[in-house]
Amino acid sequence: MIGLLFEGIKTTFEPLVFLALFFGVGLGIFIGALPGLTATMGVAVLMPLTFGIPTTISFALLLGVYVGAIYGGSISAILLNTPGTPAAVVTVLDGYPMANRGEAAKALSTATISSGLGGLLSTLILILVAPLLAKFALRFSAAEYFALAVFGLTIVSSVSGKVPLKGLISGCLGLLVATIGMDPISAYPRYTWGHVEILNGFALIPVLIGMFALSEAFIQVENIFDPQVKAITKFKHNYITIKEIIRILPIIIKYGFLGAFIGSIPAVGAVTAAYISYDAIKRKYPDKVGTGVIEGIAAPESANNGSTGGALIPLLTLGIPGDAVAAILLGALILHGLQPGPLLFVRSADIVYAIFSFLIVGNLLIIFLGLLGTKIFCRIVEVSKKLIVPTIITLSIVGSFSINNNMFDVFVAIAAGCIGYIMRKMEFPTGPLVLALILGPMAETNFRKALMLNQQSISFLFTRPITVAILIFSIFSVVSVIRKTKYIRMNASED
Amino acid sequence: MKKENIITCIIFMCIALFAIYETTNFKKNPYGLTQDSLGPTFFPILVSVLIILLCTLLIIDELRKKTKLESGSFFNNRLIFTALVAILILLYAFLIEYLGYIISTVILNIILLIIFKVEKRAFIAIYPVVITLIIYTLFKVAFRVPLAEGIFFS
Repeated sequence: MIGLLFEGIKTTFEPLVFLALFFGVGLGIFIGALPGLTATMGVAVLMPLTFGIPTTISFALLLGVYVGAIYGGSISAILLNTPGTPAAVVTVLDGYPMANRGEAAKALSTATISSGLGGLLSTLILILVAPLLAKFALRFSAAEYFALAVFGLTIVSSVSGKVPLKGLISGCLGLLVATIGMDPISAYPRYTWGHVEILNGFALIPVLIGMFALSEAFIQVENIFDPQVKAITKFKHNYITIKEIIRILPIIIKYGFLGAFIGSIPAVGAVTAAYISYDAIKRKYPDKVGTGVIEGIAAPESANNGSTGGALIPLLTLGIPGDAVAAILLGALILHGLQPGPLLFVRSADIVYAIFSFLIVGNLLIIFLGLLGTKIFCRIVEVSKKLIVPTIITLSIVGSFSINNNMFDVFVAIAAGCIGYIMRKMEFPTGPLVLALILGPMAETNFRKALMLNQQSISFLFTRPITVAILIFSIFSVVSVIRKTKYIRMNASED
Repeated sequence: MKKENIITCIIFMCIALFAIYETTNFKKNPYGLTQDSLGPTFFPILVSVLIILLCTLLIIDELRKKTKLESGSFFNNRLIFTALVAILILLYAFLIEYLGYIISTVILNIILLIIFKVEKRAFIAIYPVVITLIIYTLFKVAFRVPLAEGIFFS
């Protein structure tokens, strides 16, 4: 393992790979800092760019954007009182009061150190846990993979959006769309009506670009004439001191690990990690946190960046995308001819360990660029959406075309963008739909394979311990959806 | 949002019903795969039934709410503006083949900057050309993506 990691580090410092990582982190910070533009959108728009370039350079770029954007969200949270990404929502609560007092540099440097260290800790967890889990998952057969797909689907739908039922409906719609094309077992064409373009179903990447990048652009179009908030530009240059870093170090370690754990649960990503950690730190210091203290920034920032490494655990080891970004990274892996799952650690261990190294160096780059760029950030957050939106649209169209060099994919991306926009307006989360597109074929294929292996008996659902355990978790997840729905309804009726 | 939610659920239910109806045209065991007892119809029917059930639950939920059957904020001027941008993008996608990537992308970007009310005219003239050329060079030259040249360049 050490040898492979060393090789990964060596790969990271190859000039082009390092340049891609450096550029990726910088671009990610830029994307994250612009309110409304998310890490998911950034990775979705950039993914087609990586089609023609070597795998290592591609993943250096994409992972750089991913970790950079999660951190970047804190910049506008502190300077504009508007979180750049959903993961930075609670950073506003202590970051902006500090900036208002003229302590923006301290708030920004706290967010930088906490994000970088939180990300490093989660990468450590990823390096330690992922190979062990992958080794364990090598024993999985069709029955376990079916159960895993079901678990992924139930948990993804249950935690997305305000109304869990809408998440479940969105997930089921994704499953229905996933049935378009050839049946995975018999290759019989379903819902194709003679169109060869959809014999293999809809290409995943144009759908991802449409759902996450174009729909985001449409949302931004709606608010294009809203007055842009002015950033706090005048501040004292008092960065966080060594003494203060030592003071918040236990917080960073605790919530960095918590973030990694939360991130590793499918569908529970950076946003939940930030909320839970902020809630915990608020309970610990009820009088201080919320008034503008570094502890209130350190906890959510270490947790949200801590979730980045955790989110890659189910993706790399089981082939199950934990969240929307992981779904796009899964698309990128497939685009480069790699199949995520336990065999990835056997067949392409060099790539896996290179990914680990990119995360290590990427998080160190966050600290470097974050501390260096405090002044520049004030300018970044004020870049006009009126220029950004046309660029996103142009990149989305050319990106969806470049995958298979056909216009059909462009129309798929535009349709997915419109559907995604309407769904988001109607508060139907798009994440479950996309994840179901990936998990649907996995569930169907493995269920039918397991049936065939068990002479058409569904006994495998009750006799295989791992399958049973995973299915029990899925049932818990569905029950929690029902309870959550009831709770929301009760609250609504009381109001 | 109540009215919109109910209408959306009805649309989803219609899609699911259509999907079920379509499965009646599928062959149950198309290639004589006797080991595969479920066949290509099982999963689409299962998922469609789930959609109908979940949508029914959501409709019941919405009807139980004590608020009146009002429209929310879905249909407004902003939606029309966004729809206009979406139509522009669709037109652009159709035009790429005829006008070529460069010309159509420059035109799209100029129109977008104008309707977004970007005030500096120099910006409207320069930015679309620069961004289009950067993207064109990146994809056409560096990644060798065969972007359409259109009737003027081919």
